Amino acid sequence: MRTSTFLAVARGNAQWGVHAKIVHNILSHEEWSGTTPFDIADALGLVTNDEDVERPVLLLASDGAVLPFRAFGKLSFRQLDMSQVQPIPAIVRHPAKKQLVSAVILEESGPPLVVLDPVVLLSMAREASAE
Amino acid sequence: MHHLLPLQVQSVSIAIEVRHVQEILGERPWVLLPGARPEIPGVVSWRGRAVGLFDFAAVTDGIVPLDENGSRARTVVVQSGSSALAVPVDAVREVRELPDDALKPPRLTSQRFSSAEVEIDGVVMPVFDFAAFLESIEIADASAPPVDTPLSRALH
Repeated sequence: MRTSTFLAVARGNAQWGVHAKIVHNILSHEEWSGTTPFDIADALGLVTNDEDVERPVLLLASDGAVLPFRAFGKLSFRQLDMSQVQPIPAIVRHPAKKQLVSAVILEESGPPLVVLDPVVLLSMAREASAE
Repeated sequence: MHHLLPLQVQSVSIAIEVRHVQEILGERPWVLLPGARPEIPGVVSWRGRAVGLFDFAAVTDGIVPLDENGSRARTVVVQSGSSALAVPVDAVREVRELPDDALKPPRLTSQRFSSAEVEIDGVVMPVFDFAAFLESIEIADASAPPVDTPLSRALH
């Protein structure tokens, strides 16, 4: 069985995750003093309540650079069987919307994990920081 | 002859052709996906793969859409061509075998992707055409402008 580790952000009955290999560091909101992190919840169109939800800062690495992202819930690492990774059917994808989700893992033993596309995520963060 | 499966979603009755039905399941958890189209807002796990969740609310007046934490008691998995969809409904009735002339042009019902209506147990309901719905999606996708992505930028 081939497994991979994902960093998962809990929200409601599901988790949202990125492959752990791109995670450079995790800091609390108070520890972070750099540029404004890219808000993943905003990019996903998820409504969050700042008063109730943990908002740690994830430092994700790409092409030698490290970019800050604001998470939107409790973090955990999950080791998952890669055979459980299911691609999103083309019919689900809106043709005119940016696709930030690459796959979903629907395991019987845990909450569903929506896997975010690191290329799209990092690209959106770079665009936002350039504005 | 037509073999129809009457479904109920909230207070709305809709019939579908049995030939499209792959399986009838109980309530299934589903995952809302940003970037999904409104008619298919998320996915359900079925036979080891993710299939789109079709919400009748997006194409039918009078049905409240499923929200992120919502679900319905039954899940009908349908297939047309190569596309499978999981359809949450509140109730599934028994299959009815009806002669061709039982299907009439829509007169009392106005349902998108329906070209016929039928009376079952005194209730006139539309016959939903999944093939027509899926065809409309193919047409919409073919005419949609490309999304600006890192990959699309690299290619142009």
